[in-house]
Amino acid sequence: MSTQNALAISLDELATALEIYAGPPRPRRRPVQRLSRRGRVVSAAAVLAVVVVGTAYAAGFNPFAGISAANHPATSRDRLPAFLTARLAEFSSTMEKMGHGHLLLKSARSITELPSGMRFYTIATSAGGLCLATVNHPGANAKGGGLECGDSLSRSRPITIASEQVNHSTPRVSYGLALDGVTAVSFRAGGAERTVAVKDNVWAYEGQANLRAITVHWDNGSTQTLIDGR
Amino acid sequence: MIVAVTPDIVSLARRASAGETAAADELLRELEPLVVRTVRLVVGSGSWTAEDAAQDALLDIDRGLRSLRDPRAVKAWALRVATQRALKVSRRERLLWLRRAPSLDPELLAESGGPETGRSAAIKAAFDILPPRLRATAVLRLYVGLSEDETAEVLGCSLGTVKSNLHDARKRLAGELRERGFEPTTLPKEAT
Repeated sequence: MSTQNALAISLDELATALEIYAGPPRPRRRPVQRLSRRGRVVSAAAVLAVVVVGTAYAAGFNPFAGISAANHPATSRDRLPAFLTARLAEFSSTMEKMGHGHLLLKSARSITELPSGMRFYTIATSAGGLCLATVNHPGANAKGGGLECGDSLSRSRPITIASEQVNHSTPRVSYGLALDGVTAVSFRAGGAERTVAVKDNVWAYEGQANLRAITVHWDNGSTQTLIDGR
Repeated sequence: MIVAVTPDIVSLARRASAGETAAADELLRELEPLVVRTVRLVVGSGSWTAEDAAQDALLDIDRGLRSLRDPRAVKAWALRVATQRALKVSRRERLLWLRRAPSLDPELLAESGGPETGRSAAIKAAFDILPPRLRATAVLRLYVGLSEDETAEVLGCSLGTVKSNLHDARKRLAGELRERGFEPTTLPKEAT
C-alpha cells in the first residue's frame, strides 16, 4: 500500500457512501408545491392555518414563552445585522411558500453572545414558530449566519439542537435554545461524557464529534433523556 | 457508465432541440434520475435546498434544450448544466447557510445522515463540508462514473485539477473520519 493511499479514503468506500445518500430518482416537492388536487386542498388549509396562527401571535400568543432571555422590550441591541436582515427577508418568503409562515423580523431579540463572538437571536414566525438565528460562527466569513426554525419550546421539547461546521479547519459548534428551568445539557461526544451549562437560555459546545445520548438537567434536580445513545 | 449515450437519447435530444415538446418531456424524464441525484449529492442530500436545486437544474435543462448544439453530447451537457446549478447553490449556501435542521424534516432524515452513528454517516457528514468543487469532482467521477477527461470537460477544468481535487477530497475525508473515530480503509492497488 502506498503512503499516499494510506492517508486517503478508498475510492470504493466513497463511491458506496455516495450511492447510499443519493436518494430517490426524482426531486421531492415541498408540500406546498404539490400539484395534485389533494395537495391543493392541503396547501389551502396550511395557508389558513398560517393566517389563524398569525392572528393568534398578533393577539398575544408568544413563541418566546419560557425563554426569559428573549422576553424583554426591544432595544438597539436586538437589531439584526443588516446583511442578515436582507437574507432573512429573502428566506422568509420561501418559508411562507413552504407553509411555515413568515419571519417576524421585528420580533427579533438578542439573547446572548458566546466568548467566541457567536451571537444568538430569537425570531418568531407568523405561524407561531420559533427560530434561532446565529451570526459570527467560528470560521464563517463576516456575512455568515444560520437559521433553525421549529415549534416553540415545551416541557416535552425543552431544547433545540443544531450543529454546524463551517469548514475543516474550524471546530464544529453544537448549540440550541433551552427552556427556562433547564440548567445544563449532557451528551456523549468523541467517546466522553460532557455537560455544558445553559446561559441565557442557550447551550453550546465546540468540538469535532457529533453528539449522542442527549440529556437535559432541570433546576429541580431531575433529568430528561431526549436522545438515547446507541 | 451512466454517461454513455444511447441512440434513443440522441434522437430525443435532436427532436427536443428542434422544439418538439413531447420529445423534450421524454428526454427530461430520461435525464431526471441522473441530474437529480448528481445535484443532490453535490449540494448535500437530506436538505430542502438540495431538492430545490435539483428541480431548478431540471428547469435549467428544459430551458436550455433549444440551444443544445450537439445532441450526441446531451448527457455531458445536462451534467454540466446540473453541476453549474449545484455549485452555484452550494457556494451561496456556504456564504450564508440558511436551512432548517434536518431533524425537523423527517422526510429527508434518511439522506441527511442525521441520527445515524455508523461509518457511512460519518463519511456523509465529512463529505458535506468539503468545498463544493471537491464534492462535484467526487460525485462526477465516483457516482456518475465519468472518466477523468469527461469530469474535466463537465467542470471546465484541466485533467490535473480533477486528479488533485479527487485526491484532496479523499485525503480530507480520511482526516475527518479519524477525528470521528474511524480508520479509513484503503485498497492497495486502486487507481488514484
